[in-house]
Amino acid sequence: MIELLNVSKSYGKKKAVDNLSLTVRPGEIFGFLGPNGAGKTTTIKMIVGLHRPDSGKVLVCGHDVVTRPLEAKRQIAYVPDTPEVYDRLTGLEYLNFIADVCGIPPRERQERIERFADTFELTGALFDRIDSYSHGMQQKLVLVSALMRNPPVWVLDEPMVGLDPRSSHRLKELMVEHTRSNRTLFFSTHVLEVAERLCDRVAIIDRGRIIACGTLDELRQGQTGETLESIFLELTER
Amino acid sequence: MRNVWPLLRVQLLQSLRGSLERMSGTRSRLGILMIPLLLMAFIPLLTMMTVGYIGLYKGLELIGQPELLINLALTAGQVLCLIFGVLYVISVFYFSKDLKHLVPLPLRPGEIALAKLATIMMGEYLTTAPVVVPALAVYGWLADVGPLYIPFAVLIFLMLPVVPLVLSALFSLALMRVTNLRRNKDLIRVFGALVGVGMAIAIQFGSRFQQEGLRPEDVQRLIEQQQPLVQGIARWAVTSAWGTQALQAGSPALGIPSFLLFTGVVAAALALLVLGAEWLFFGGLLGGDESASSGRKVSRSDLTQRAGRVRPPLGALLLREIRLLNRTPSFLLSGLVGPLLIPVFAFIPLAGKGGPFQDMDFSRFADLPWTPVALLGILVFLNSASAIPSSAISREGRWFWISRSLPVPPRLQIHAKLLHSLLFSALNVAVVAGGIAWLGLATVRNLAVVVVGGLLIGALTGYAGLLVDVLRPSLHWTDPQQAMKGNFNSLLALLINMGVSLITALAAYLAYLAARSAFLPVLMVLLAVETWILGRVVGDLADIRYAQYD
Repeated sequence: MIELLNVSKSYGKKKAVDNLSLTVRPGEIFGFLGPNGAGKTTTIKMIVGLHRPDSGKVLVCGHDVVTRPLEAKRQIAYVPDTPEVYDRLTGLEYLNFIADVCGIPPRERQERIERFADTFELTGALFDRIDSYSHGMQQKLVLVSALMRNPPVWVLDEPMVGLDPRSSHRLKELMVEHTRSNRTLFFSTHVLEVAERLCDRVAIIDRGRIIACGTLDELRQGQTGETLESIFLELTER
Repeated sequence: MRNVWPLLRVQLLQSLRGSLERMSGTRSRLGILMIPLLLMAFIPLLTMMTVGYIGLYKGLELIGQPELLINLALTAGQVLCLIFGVLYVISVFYFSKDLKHLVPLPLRPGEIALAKLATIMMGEYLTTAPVVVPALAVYGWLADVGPLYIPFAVLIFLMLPVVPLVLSALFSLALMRVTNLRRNKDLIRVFGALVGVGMAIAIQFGSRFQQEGLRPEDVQRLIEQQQPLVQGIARWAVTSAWGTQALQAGSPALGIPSFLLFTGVVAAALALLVLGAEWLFFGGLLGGDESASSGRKVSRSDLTQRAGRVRPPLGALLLREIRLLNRTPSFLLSGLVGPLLIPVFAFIPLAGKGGPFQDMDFSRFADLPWTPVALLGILVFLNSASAIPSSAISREGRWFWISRSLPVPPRLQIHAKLLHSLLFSALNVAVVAGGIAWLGLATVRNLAVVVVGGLLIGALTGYAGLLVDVLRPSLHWTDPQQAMKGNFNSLLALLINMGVSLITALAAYLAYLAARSAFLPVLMVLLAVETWILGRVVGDLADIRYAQYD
């Protein structure tokens, strides 16, 4: 579903992502871990077409995000690391806007907005302007706008940040539910317990390079630590 | 006050880098090369001011008081700072994004206020320079000034905004302390802009009484009569008098005490600001940021009904543009001020009572072949003055990631932005149509040209503005005013529009020579072709550029 082939990206002289290759399969929950500044968000932004790789290829459901950007974007729901949305619109106006430009039919739109807004306890705020929302409410709105599109690939950058425990729990349930129908979830997180519990596979990126990739069992091989946290610390301290 | 310097350094760096980035449209240092090009746009204004000051100097020389020129310019500079200062001070003192980081630091309110004042002064130099610098240059050039003139002139210009800005700051500190305006910052801006528009109109009406041009005798009469307004302002701006005495021709030694007085007042004003800030600043600042959702009940049927309204992508994109602009008062005002204010400035002095054309019968020009061209020229001017298209992408700011991740072609988004700017072009068309009806020029031909040509010109100039904004959007703003007023793309778009207008005028002239009877249809077709070509270019560029912004 997602393929990164020898992808590199630099900001000036600093190499943010260095010759990174990765494949995320259908039906997989893939965790993307790494210290701050390791290149996680840059990689995610290249997958969703917000950053253009200097070299290499990024394919989403077989579509090259550089040469076939619209086809690739139609396959992706993206939640950024900071929930910046048009603060002068109401929550519902924003959701309707996203639904209109993504061509979601009216019946599905109504059903999904109601369902996800209820899931994240946002229904009561949908007619309010977004500038009255708390950080967590804005995060929920971005999640609803992404999930209602229901595409095959979800790309979430730190999706739990700002969510209350109940919403965080419901999001994890939705993440698992999404991949049951052979759809893909790619997400970054600093909460290693969540990654350990949810992910089929994880990749650890450090200084722009993948330093480990595989299932938890595969990662444990050759390491002294048992938990993902101890493996992460061991690998990134080198 | 030991923290003032590090704070000031950070504030100035932030302010300078932000201004340079907005002016050049790039984070690259090479962007500085763009600035001379932008400054060229100010040459007509500076030339006009310089010529005016030379005339004034000659007039004042006749009555033996040429130094009044400096007094006038320094006073005008200070009045400008005072008028525009209040809103600027409120914006910077109370709504800067960095306050939430500064307030928790162990900094005194006075230290923050001093550092903030310095950043405001950087902006005020741009406002006062076109008024003050030409006067100082004219006086220094024509009068017999001493060796201290240039250093004194530079220092006085640099210190000039301090006193009016401190007065503005003290007023703002008191206002924000006793009112709850911090919760309604947009309201403050709307109010400020309305005051500005009102003053501009008042000045226009006032100036109708002095339309004959300023001759030396007039200057003498003005001085002799000593109008109360002039007297009042001069009394208030006492620092202008000391600045004038420091700079006026004669022995350099005579200027030093006045210069020291000027500097002393500036220092005293700064001390007053620190005292005022210590007393009032945090009281008005803290606790104004909270907002609460309405908490209203949302019925299932209402939600179902409103979530079920479907629009095509172009309609949804257009509606987004309309909503975001209409709900951001500083955007809306910047968009409306052009079409509403420029005609006020143009029509009232020219054709109103007391104007040079008051007795002219315009209706006899109605059927002349070049009348439609002149009307189209007015429409080009009105549309070129609009910052709506040239800030269409910049206005998206930190939300631009949404547009870039949408599964719709960037060219479609650009066309939606153009449709939005056409709404303002339609306003221009309505204003010009109303104007020609008032002047008796409203023949069927002229009205058809204004409507059809006006919309074509709206599209052409709209695409020109979008072209500039696609190439160099200014996305990193913290205050909506920076996205439009602080965005120099409108100046670049103006240059492009001048170029396109010249080409069109030349082609129109050739068409007129070749086939007079088909001249107007050919001109319309020409405008349509230009619009189509530019639209294609901007669309293609948008498809490329949207993927390139990092």
